[in-house]
Amino acid sequence: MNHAQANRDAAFDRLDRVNRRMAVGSVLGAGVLMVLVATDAHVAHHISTLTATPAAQTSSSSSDETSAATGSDDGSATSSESSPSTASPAASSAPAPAPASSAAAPAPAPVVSGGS
Amino acid sequence: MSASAPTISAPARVEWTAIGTTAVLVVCDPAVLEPARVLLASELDRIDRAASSYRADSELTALNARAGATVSVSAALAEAIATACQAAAISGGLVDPTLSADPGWRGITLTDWSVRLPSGMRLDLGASAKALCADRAARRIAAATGVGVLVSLGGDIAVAGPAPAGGWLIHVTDDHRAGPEAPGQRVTICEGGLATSSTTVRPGPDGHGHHIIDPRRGTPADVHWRTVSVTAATCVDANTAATAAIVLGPDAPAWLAAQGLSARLVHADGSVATVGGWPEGDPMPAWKPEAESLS
Repeated sequence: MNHAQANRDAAFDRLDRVNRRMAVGSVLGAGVLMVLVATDAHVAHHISTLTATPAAQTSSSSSDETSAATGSDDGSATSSESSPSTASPAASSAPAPAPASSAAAPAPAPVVSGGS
Repeated sequence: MSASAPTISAPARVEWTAIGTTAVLVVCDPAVLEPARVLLASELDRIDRAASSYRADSELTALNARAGATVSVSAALAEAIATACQAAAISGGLVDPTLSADPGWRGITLTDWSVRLPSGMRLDLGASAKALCADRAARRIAAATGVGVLVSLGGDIAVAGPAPAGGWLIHVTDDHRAGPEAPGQRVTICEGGLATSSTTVRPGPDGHGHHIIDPRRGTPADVHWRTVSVTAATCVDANTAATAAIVLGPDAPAWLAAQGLSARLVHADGSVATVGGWPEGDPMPAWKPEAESLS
């Protein structure tokens, strides 16, 4: 058995184990959510809110679009229902950093995110 | 026998059509591509059987046909409905699986493993279910393989596990079917999700306008922004916020900022606004397939 085949077999084994654990986890997770949702809209701020994550780091634009920063705050209809737990990510227009370690995989081709 | 240098694996990618859209799977180690593909396929099948509005034999179709009655549902459909209700709650009803504000998502009764819709109500779980599937699949693949993974379902992206060097490179544009050379912007994320909603891709129910409904009036939202991309801790959150931003129109930047989310909004005239630290679109050399030269 070659190395790649061994890796695949090991991955399938781990997959089986995780599938069993996740099946239980998803049932419990959905149950908790349903209890929360069923109580009323007032629970909205008890349910996990939209949560920010460290985000876009590098950028390039090949279009005729123009960029402009926006950030006025007039208060929103839902602001009382949401309180993100994470600060907004820092912006950076620097080029993508070089691989940090020789063990890291090289960056893959871009994946497109657009409307569907 | 001589020792060889550690191998740097090039990411492996597979793409196919599923649940009426494009599924893209990228893993950092080609050795796990096949088990990862099997897992993603199983998640797609799971959500399709449970929550598809287009399948006559889906659980959701049966539930919609029995509005007014209490119906037992599977864990998959219960989770999809709960996720959609959560999205509605978080967005203040701007994203509503009933596509209506009266009674809207609050009319749904979820009790243990049963659901009751008010008579006449129909659910459309399309957007949130797709994002939920991406989140679930990415988490499960990363947990099973220990390898970094990206799952894109119709341009709604979830990543999990160790990201590749420099992060996952994503090209945001109007239409997920466009190539990476389409007008837009390249960004990287290392965790969570990124989703894009656009009014330019799909027509509305009557063949006119677009498909993003403003639940407050039950008709397509006004086109202030043609495309909104958002990053968040999960693909579901990103998808919810992107759609809510389209519905909100001019109030979207303030709302997104209040959520602490990072977003890129393309105005109907093509001008771009950014929120929450989304990077400016400084020019960068075109992407080159470095992976090929290293493999």
